[in-house]
Amino acid sequence: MRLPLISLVVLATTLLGPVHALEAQSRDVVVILNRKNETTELTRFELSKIYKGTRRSWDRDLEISLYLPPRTSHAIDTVAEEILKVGSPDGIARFYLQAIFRNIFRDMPMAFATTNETVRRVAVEPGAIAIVDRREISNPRLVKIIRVTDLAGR
Amino acid sequence: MGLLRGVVLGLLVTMASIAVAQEESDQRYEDQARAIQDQEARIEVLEAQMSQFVQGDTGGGTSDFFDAPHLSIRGFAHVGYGYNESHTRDVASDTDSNAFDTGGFTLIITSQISERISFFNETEFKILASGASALSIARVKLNVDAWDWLRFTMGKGHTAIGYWNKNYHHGAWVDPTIERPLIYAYEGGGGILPLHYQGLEMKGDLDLGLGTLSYVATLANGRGTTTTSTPVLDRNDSKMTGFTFTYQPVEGLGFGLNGFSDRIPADSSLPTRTRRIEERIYGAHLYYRSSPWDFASEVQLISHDDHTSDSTLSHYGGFAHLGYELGRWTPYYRFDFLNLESGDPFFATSTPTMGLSDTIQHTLGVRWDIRPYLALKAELRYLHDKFDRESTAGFQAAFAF
Repeated sequence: MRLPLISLVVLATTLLGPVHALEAQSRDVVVILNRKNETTELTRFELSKIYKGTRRSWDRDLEISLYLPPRTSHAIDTVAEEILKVGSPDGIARFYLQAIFRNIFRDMPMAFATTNETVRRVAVEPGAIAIVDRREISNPRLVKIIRVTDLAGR
Repeated sequence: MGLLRGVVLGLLVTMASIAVAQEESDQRYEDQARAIQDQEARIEVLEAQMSQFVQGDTGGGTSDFFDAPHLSIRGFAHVGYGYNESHTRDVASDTDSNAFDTGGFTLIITSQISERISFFNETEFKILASGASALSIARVKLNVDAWDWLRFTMGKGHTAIGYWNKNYHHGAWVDPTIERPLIYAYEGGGGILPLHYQGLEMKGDLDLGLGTLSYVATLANGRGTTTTSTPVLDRNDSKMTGFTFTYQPVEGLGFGLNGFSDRIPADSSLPTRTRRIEERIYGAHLYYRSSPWDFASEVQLISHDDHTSDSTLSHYGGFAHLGYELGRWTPYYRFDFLNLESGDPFFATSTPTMGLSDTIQHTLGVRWDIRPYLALKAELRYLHDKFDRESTAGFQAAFAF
């Protein structure tokens, strides 16, 4: 029995809607750096190495200081699914505790309650990096905002 | 007409002059507006710094005046239950047993001493079969991170043999399964590999452009006279040396090789051990870890040149593990194999029966991450060789705190 065309359209919209929603969320996810950081762009793979502890310094004189997005931000899903590839935000906690156990990280990366607290912290710490939802940033001039290539297929 | 032409020309020149002046004025206005915005941004950054200072956070990770290191302590523990049935060719030797198990607990202590130097410790508090307690310092390391591609570690740790021993240690919560692979049994439990070292590691991660190459070079105290001897002292002039590398062409996928060399000292109390044994360990590993897949496999070959009997004995073992995440549930299967060539005087007393004939083990289980730091595991294991069959059902609650 052939489905009516309208049913197929409804089905496609239902299935693709969440995908587009995630892609839309990912397009609003940006990386913020201290304004003194000379980095201008990062690929998703480079960002993944930073958040997995493979890359630990910007240069000889500047250590990387990681910050996670607030738990309530959409950016945490991007970190879980596209950066660390652990499936869910709960997987982020497990990932970093395992990394401490494996002597890769000394402690869990910090996360603040709000995006703006994260922004203020990155603004004062030269080696800081954070992934945030740009729609939640009240004062973007405090930090350097860079896009990540290859994020959400872009 | 000439007058009119002159007036029009004059007006045109005047209008052009006004336009140029206006443009210059607009440009100056834009420059000044930009400069004001930059100044406002600098003021906001300074205000943020002031706010951090007032709240007592200087942004350097510590609030002590002397910037002293801060200790971080995390723990892992597990409790469980196991039922075991063992069948041998001699029916009268059939046995079964069941018992609750408290695995003690492990503390992970870390501290950042300075920007590139840190301390790491793993200490186990164990409950022995006798009921007594024991403390064991499994790892204690001083880490120096010179560059991403060059880091040093000195102290005691887990030997960088293969994949499993680098990633899974004494904390059951971290392990994907209840039991370790047969090849990676601890030395005190009849294991055949030198899983602990005391010495120096040089390691790093090299960005090749087409993937990442991770390496670990080891220089450490050698094995003692028995497999259970801890490498606190070096009983001969020869050190254990080793090299392991892993190539990751894409995220989550890795494969690599390892090679270790050591000279096991003689044991004058045994007629079969009057002279040294040259040990070579070669291995290969392959893994793919990207949610929802968790695949790992490796094989290790141990070669012993026994100078007492003037013979070479070879032993090998390995495993293949596959897990698949379904939300918080991860069913898994692991295949283990282990084969020890008979007559090796170094393994004779520590592993009298296991592995002397081809040993195969099948493990089927499921892990439920009921909470981010609490995992429940249920597992069935079936082990057999030419003479014995052993079936085990196990349950474990493993957690981090």
